[in-house]
Amino acid sequence: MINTLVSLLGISAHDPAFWMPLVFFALLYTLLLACIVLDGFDIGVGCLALFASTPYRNRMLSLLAPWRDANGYWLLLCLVVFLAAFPLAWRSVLGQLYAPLCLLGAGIALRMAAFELRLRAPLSEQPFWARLFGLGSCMAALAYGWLLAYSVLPTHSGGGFAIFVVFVTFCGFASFCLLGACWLVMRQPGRLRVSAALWGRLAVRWAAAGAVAVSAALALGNPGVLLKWGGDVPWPMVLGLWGLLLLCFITLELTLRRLSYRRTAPAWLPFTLVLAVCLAVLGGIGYSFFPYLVLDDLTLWDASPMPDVAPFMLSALIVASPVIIVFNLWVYWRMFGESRPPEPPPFKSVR
Amino acid sequence: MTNLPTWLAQLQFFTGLGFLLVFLLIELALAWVLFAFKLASHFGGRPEWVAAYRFWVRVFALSSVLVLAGIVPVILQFGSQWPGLMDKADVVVGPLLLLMMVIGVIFRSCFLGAMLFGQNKLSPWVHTCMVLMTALGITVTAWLGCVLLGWFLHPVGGEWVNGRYLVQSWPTLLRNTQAAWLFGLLLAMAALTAGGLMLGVVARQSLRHPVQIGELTGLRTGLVLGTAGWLLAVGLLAGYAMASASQLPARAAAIMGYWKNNTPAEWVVFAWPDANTQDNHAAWRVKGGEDWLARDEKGVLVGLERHSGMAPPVALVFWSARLTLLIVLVMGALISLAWWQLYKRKADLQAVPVRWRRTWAYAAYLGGTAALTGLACLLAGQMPYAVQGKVTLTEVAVPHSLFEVGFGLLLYCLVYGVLAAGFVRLLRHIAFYGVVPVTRHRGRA
Repeated sequence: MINTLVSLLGISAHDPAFWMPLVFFALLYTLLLACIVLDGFDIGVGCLALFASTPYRNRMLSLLAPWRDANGYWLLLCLVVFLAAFPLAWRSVLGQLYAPLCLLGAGIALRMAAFELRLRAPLSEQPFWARLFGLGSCMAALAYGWLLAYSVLPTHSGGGFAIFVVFVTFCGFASFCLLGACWLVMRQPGRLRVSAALWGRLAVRWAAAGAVAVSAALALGNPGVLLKWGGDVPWPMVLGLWGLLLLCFITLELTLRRLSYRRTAPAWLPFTLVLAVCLAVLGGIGYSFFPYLVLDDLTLWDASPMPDVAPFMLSALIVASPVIIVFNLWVYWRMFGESRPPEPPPFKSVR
Repeated sequence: MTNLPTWLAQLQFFTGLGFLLVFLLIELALAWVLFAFKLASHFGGRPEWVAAYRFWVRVFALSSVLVLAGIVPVILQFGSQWPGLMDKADVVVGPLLLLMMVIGVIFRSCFLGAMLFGQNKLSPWVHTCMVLMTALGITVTAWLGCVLLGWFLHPVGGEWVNGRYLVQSWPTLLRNTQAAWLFGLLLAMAALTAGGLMLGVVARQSLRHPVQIGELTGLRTGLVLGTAGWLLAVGLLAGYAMASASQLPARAAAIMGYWKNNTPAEWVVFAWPDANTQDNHAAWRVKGGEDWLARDEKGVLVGLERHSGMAPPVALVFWSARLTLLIVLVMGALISLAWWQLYKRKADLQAVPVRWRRTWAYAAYLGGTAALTGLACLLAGQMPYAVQGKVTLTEVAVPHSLFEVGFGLLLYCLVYGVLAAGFVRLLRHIAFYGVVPVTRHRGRA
């Protein structure tokens, strides 16, 4: 593929004008994955907290506390890297998405601030802030679904498209709920696990329907994508990928069903399966889009003017990367497995 | 600039930026105040510095969260409302925003976390270093923001080639005089806002219970900070208005209410500027003010008629400038009154009449209000341009329907309103009942 791109663009593969957009794209894609998965379970738990009873809601929010501040950075990082590396795509991508971006911005601001205000608020006001956190999470989840619908069919309009947007928006919301529910199943034993498994079962079929709808729309609505999957990728591989997705969804449904009936099942399995599904779907979307940022309209190289400052920007990111990686490893290394209570503070003995 | 959606879009951007600015001012000033508290506790060794640190670090943490919450909507608004700007100014906006983000993330992830949650795990001096690094990080980020805003007001350091700006000298761009003035003003307004807030909060505490020694330390620090901020703000506002008149002639003329070229300059203290008749109704004038207006190459004073069709909304610029000045003057009066009352009553806050303490408590947010009106003057004074004299807002905007923009504005106003109200309410609560310690246990919950 690289050779084809090099010959199409007419530049050397060693030319920074060729490889630098690729590096930025890889970075952006990694950040987007982190944003969907790491901020995603947070958004999912926030959405579910809106429907949970008060004791469950408090526990769910306290489970999020160790990661909440770090989760807030992913979207910001994504936006700024996108803006800096692909400024010429800014108009095509963000200019057309006013309404979902409004919803996303308002939702993110609301959930980020409401969570911290709840921690510091008097007891009587905490339920209010918890509900606002849930509301902000729902707004963010719906906005992500809406953005996805617009991204896969960027040039479409009309009644059918509106129905598709509504459907994918709702399915996107269900996917975040599924991610959050599976994370809760893994983290918290007891009755909350059973409730989370029930929530997960409600969401899993909608999430699967959303994945199918997005994939079908992407292939059928964009001939280039259909050709790519039909010609470049061997059909056993395509079938294998779909089979794997189907298997993941069925196993997920069955595991959640067992857990909701309090039968023995590995609690880590649902979250692992949802992660696999997320990676497969996002990987598929990424492959379908590559090398375009806006399908059939704007490639990475069109969107990245590569001015003299690009090496400087890359250097800044390289300098920042170790700090960001170490910080995130430190923050996220205990996000898997069952929750453990905090250690008591080290009191000094008084003699 | 006459169509309603563009106005509403600008108002929405102002709302987002205003929310961010107010809490950034509080965060910036409190970061340095907290560093001063830490240093004083090391060298002075008195417990009141520690008590003052413990209280104000909570307010700092809260404003820090609100700043972070406010950044994403501003970037999204920037992208969805003025997307064409990146086609023209990508070389300036991209690297500066990236640098701000990199510095912001590094300082926040490394030092802010250690400052807020690592006090018991670090030695006192190391913790003080963390506070210093946090303050430095916030200051550098704020300076980069000023460089970016300064470039929009006065693009220097490069040239326009085929409608796109190409930077030729980064040092020139970074040393932009507009950026330096804006940064000075930002620091002054930060000190004034935080000083007023500290005075107001301690005054409210004194209405509830006898103030303790740590709270009095907060009051004294707030007064010193507020006084320094006030002196700086008054000097810099006047200096900035004069220094930037030649760079932003339309804004200067709008602030002065000066319509016709080369007519005698006057201070219009009060008036209703009318763009249709190009006159000031019910004007109250004082002679002078030539230095506050721009002159062309022939030495003729430039009025608003020179910018016919491209003038900013005069009434809005005129009144927001006066409102800013009025609020700053009122704050100066309140701070002077606080000094006088405390001097007269030998620093006994409880002995100060309740009406004054109540006034200070209600005036706690005047600094933030002044910052908002100042921002309104800055943004409205820049209209109809996105980049002064080169790129208009309509060139870079994507037309959205009135319903969409109205809905977005309403949504953002609701969210910002609820969050600002939450901050005020929480501040009142902690002023009355003390702070609630918040801890983070990495990976454990």
